[in-house]
This record gives sequence, structure tokens and C-alpha cells, in this order.
Amino acid sequence: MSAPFSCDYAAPLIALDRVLRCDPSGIVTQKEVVADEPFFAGHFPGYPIYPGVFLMEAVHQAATYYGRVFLGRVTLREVRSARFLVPVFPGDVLEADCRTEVLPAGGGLKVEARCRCGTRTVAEVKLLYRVEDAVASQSRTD
Amino acid sequence: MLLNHAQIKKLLPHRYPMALVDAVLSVEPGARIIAVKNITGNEPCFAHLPDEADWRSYAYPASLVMESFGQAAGLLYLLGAEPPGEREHLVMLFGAATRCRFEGEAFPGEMLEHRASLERTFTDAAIFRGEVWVSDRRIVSIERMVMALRPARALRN
Repeated sequence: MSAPFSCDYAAPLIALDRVLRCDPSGIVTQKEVVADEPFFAGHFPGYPIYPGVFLMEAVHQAATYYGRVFLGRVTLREVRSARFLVPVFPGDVLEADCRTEVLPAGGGLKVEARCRCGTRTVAEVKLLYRVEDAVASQSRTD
Repeated sequence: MLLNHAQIKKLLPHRYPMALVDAVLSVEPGARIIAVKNITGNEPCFAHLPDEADWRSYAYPASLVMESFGQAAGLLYLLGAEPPGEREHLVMLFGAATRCRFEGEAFPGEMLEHRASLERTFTDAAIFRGEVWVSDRRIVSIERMVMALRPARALRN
């Protein structure tokens, strides 16, 4: 499966170029880390490094996409754990391989992800989400 | 104000659009820091939102809240580093985090207030905990954030 992602954020935060797979058990997304991303100008001048938090963002955008397909709007509740193992540089192709589990009794959505560049694991991220009632989430207007 | 933005840029290598601490309000070197970032509608992350985007689209992304907190934590570390000459040669990279609970969001017009404390230091890493507040609301509590310290020259390609 390959689908364009209609993203809530724009630069500097497009962390998902395409969806490689999306089924009830999880989602796999891909992001090409290219040198002309605007944030590389400042992270860091002369030595571009993909910010570690953007690996978390990649998983978050994958989880958001998964939520839209299967559950509705999901809201990040907790970064249970995140480990950034290897720096990611321009030219790398990042894959976020996410295993999802809908927790019983309204416990929300658990996402366990392995971020890879080629065969190297660059990060491991576990996120927890609230699954929101689609109608209630649109009623607040403040 | 203890450190203005110009002084922060002398300590941190982060630059636009990734310089995510505006000012340091207070610090106890080696112990704790309070640092702030204002959020505006002009943030690059909102640049291409369409006119029909709803108010929730303007929640400042959780990943950038974490990055901003991490930079505040980095300042805390660097302000206590000895000797001070060592400071410019270190870059902090986000190494790990556990149990960061998101209780709320921040929107344009609001200010993130990072309250970070230094828990432990090693030769190549530092461990922090802390909270992020928006006026009287706590929006994030961070049980543990590990920052890896790397010599800047090792990261230049």
C-alpha cells in the first residue's frame, strides 16, 4: 500500500513521505531525509544531523495515520520510552516499523516502533495514545 | 531574565529554525533551570497549514516541545560545566527518554516554561527530569531524559 499523507504539519515537520504498509497489526512508513530540509540549516550549521525528536515525530505521524484509518483521532498521551541509537544524516532513508495494539477497556492505542535506516536500527520508540470520540473532539471551540 | 537569546546562542549550537529556547529565567548551575519559549502563529511548523485548518492543527508538535525542553536541559548542563572553555566544544544529542506524559497542548500566543533538573552526570551523558508548563497548566511531565554529550568535531562530516 502506498498513499500520500495529508499531514497536519508542514516544514520543518514532514516526517512521513509514504505509507509502505498499513493493516490492523501495524503500519510501516518511509521518509527520505534530504539535505535541503529547512531545519538542517540550524541543526547544526556545518554538520547536519536529523534531530532525534524527529524520529519520534515519524512514529507519531505513522500512529496518527493508523488512527485515522482504523480508530479515529488519536492524541499522544505518553512517550513510554524512546532510545536514539545511531545518528541519522541527510541521504538516509528512514523507515518507521510500528506494531500497534488497541488496549482493552478504553485503554487507548499502544505503538511500539523500530526506526531503521537500511538494516541499521536507529531508534526504538514506544508511544501511548488516547483514542478520542470523533464527535466530542470537534465540539470544543475555545 | 538571566540569559537573553544572544547569550543562549553563545552556548547552544542550535540555530533557526531549531533554536527553541528564547530566554533563561533562572538557573542553579548543576541543579535546575527555568527557560522559556514563546509560540507564535509564525512558527515554521505552521507555515503551510491551509486556511481551513482547525484550531487543533495549531497545537505545537509534541516532538518540538521535547526538543525545546532538551535544549533547556542542555543549557542547564552547559552552565554548570567546568571549565567553561569546554562548553563550546560539546554537542548534546537526545539519547533516550522514559515516561514523558502529555497532559495538555500549547498554542500560538502561549509560552512554554521548561522546568528541568539535572539528576546525574557521566563523562559522556547527563540525565534530566522535569516539567513543561503553560501559565498555570502543566502540559508535560518528563520522568527521565538522557542527553548524550559528543565533541562537536566528531560530528562534522
